[in-house]
Amino acid sequence: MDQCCTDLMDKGEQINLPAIMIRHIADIANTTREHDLGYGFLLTWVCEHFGVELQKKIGVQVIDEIGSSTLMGCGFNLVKGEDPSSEQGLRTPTPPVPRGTSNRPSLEALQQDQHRLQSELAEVKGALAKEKELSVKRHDDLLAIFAALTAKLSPPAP
Amino acid sequence: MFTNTLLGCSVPELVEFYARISVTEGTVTSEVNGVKIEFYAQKLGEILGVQAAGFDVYIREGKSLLGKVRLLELAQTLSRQSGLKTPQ
Repeated sequence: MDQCCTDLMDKGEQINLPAIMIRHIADIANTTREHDLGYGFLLTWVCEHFGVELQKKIGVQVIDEIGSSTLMGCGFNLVKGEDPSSEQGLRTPTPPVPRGTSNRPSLEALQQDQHRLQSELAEVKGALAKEKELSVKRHDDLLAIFAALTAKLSPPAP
Repeated sequence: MFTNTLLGCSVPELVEFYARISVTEGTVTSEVNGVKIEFYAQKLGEILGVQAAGFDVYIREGKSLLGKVRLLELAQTLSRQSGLKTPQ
C-alpha cells in the first residue's frame, strides 16, 4: 500500500488518504494477527479534535522521522561504508526476517485469516465473472452495430 | 497535515480507540474516555485538513504492485542518490 501511494505521489496523482486510512483501520481492527496501533499520531489528533483529554501525549521525536532504520524495516539492506554513488548503496527489498516465535500468529489465527481471504477472493471472482459477462454482451452489441452499419453503407447491387 | 508541529501520540487513548472500534460502511465509530468518536472519509479529511478525493483503493500490506525497477527508481528519487543500483 505504501509503495503504491508513494508511486502515485511521485507521479503527482491525488490520493484519498482519509478513505485509505479508514479501510486500513478497518483491516487492523478485524485482523486476528498482532498489529501495531496504526496512524497513532493522526488518530491522537482526531481524539483531540473530539475533545478527548489525553493522558500521555508524546510529541514527535527524531526516531519518528523516516531514515535508514525505516528503510531497513521495509526490507532494504543498507551497505555501510559504501560510496552512495557506487554500485550497491541500497538493495532491492527482500522479505523482512521474521521476528521471534513469540510474535508469530497462532495456527487458528492464520486459518481465520485464510478463511477471510478466501471469502474475499470468492467475491472478487464473482465480480470478475459479472464483468466478463458484461464485456461479452457489449462485444456482441458492437458487432451487431457494425454489421448493421456495414449493411447500410454497402453500395446497392447493380 | 504535514506542517502540524504539535503532532503527538497518546498510547492509552489509542488502545481504547482500537479496543472499542467499529467500522461500518466506511464510518468509524469508537469511544475514548467516554467521548464518542465517529467519522467517515469526508469528515476525517476535514479534521486532518486534506481532501478526501483521488485514488482510494486500499491494497493489503505485503502485496506489491510495483516492479523492482520502479521500486529502485522511487528509492533513488526519495533518497536523492541516483547512484543506487540493484544487486547483481
